[in-house]
Amino acid sequence: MTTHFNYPTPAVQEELRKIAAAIVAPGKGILAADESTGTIGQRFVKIGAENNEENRRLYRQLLFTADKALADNISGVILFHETLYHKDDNGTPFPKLLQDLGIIPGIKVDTGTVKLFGTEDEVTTQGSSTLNFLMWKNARSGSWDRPMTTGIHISLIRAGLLDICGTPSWAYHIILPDGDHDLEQAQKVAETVLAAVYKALNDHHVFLEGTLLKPSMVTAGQSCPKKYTPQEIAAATVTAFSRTVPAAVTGITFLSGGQSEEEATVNLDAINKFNGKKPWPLSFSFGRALQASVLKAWGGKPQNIKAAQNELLKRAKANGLAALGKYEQGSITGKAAGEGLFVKNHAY
Amino acid sequence: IGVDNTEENRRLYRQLLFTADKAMSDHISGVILFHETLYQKTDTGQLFPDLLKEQGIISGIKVRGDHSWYQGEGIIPSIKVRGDHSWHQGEGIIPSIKVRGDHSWHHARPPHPCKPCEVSPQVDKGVVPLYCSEDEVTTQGLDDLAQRCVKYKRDGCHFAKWRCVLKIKRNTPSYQAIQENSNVLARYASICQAARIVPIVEPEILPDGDHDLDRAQKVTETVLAAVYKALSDHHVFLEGTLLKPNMVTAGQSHERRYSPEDTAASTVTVLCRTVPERLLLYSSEDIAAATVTALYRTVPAAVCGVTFLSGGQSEEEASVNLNSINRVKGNKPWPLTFSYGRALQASVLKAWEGRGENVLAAQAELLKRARANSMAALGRYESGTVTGTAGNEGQFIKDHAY
Repeated sequence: MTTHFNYPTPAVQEELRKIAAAIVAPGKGILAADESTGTIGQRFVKIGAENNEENRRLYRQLLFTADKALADNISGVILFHETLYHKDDNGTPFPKLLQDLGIIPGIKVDTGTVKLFGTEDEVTTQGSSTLNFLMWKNARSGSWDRPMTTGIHISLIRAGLLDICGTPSWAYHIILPDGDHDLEQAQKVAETVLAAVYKALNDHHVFLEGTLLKPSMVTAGQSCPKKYTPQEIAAATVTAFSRTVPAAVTGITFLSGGQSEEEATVNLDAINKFNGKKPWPLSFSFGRALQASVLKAWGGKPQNIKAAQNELLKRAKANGLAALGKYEQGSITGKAAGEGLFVKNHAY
Repeated sequence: IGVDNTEENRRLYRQLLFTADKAMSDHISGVILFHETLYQKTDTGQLFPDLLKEQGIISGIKVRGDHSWYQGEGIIPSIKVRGDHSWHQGEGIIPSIKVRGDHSWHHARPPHPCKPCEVSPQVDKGVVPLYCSEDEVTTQGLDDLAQRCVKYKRDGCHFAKWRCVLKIKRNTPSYQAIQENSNVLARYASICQAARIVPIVEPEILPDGDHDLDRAQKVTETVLAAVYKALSDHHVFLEGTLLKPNMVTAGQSHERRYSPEDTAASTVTVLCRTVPERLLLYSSEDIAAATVTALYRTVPAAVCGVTFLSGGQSEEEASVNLNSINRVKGNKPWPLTFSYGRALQASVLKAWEGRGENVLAAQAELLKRARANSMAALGRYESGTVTGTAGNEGQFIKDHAY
């Protein structure tokens, strides 16, 4: 625990701050389109589309050419490695396409989870670097009698390295929603994990103003018999974060986990409406909860592209409103708005 | 100020402070008391905490370990604390001594530096050395803290203060000192809350030294991160705590050494080439920016409020800096106010001089300074607008023990 270390240079601090702030600009959030090949395959199976490279390219093209208006609500897109090097039909690389729209490209850098030997089925994440922003995640089970261990340390050493490269990094912590634990237990786990995360970030001298946090909302386990309202979820979430996430963190962009599109939006909205200590913008970084209706509308067919893009714009707008606490439940519907998107033990 | 340190004078002085004027409660929300003061009365026989309560001012108590408390309550330790280390190398506790409270005191705590078995009301040694460290300390007093808190709550105190001390030198604060002090603060906070007392958490990083502002900020960030991790580990309810930190300032001898008045001393020239920024004195805005940044990076929004200590700053400095802190742009999630000792009382003491005929004048000084800090806590204080008999005098005391 040394007190002798360096802050990033003013130029690096400025650049990191700007990028992070742009991502959580009011009414905006992230489209997480970084599904690995395997994961996107799972999505395609459900709509009867083949999982080949061309389809993956076509699908992402669909997303990124939706309309200029997409940039009103989408500040950044997280890409999977393969997608980074794909081009649209005119030969424009996807990152350039996005940048021209004023949307910041980002990259998922972890290479998936691996088991922690000797633990009760816990995992850590491995992987490595590049581009404007990076996403690093660490999945933790929701059981709260399990110790939080080395996984956190490894992922955050990387966060430190990335800061030095001049790229804002993202502490992305999923506490998986699997399980039957109630909301209170979920909150305790969240508080314990986040306290450890921020202690580790401090130990590694990570420049917090140049980071974002992508956490799960605090919710009860999927198989918990008790059901909670969005207001209860908001209270648990905001309270846990106010107790652990320093105000210096530029923003919080929630993942949607297994929530349906509408659930995720309504919960984000409740979080923003909740009257508590919230010194950071509270926005979204949704994958499934932005794309479920899109995929359903597309069905892999070119004649459905416009309709599918329309679904994306609608959902992006809904979440943009939720990020401002201005969404009215049920006001924006889609082809899959109410469908649960929970995938057991989701690998991402 | 040439006043005898007798119990009566201590009573008279605190009476002066607490009977100042009704307007005091416009600016002062709480008073931290020493144990003795808690049980003292006004000339008319009213207990001080009751007097304060009548004015809407909350009483708090300084709780760290001090042998006079034990003596006063008739609780032993009649433990001879020898000046060598043999007792903690396994020679054990003298069997005929009853050791009150828990037994943590004999878990490798080095011998207490005060005289064995004697009680001196002036003993102010809440801190004890950390054996094998480079002159670092921790704070004692967890023994019986639970019982004491229950009693203090009953006797009218609703918040408590516990001061830990860390020092900036080449190799300190060390891992040992940071870990230990963070943990002891967390234990203290936890015990207080169990007794429904709000703990003020005070991890003071002393201003002694010649380090620059940058180093002070880094130390503060590291220490506060450790403190809040420990509080989390001990499940302390943050919304029911306050933080009493130092402002982030350069070391006391940093400014003197590198002030613009220094001429071409060779050290200054050498440093000029290597660390040019050291030649600058830091402005109040520099201090404010460093302080607020450090807090942003480490203090969770759930913490109810931040009440700065004044350290060795003069009355005016402490007000001006607090004001600048409140003027720093940005959405600060906690109130930023004061918990000042010297910076509220320096002019008071100077005006009083221990003389009855000066009481009103002294009280006027207190009210003036309270008002100044009240304005500063709102970012509305104008430097130099409130002057007192000791306004700009530095209050720095080397290695201050409290």
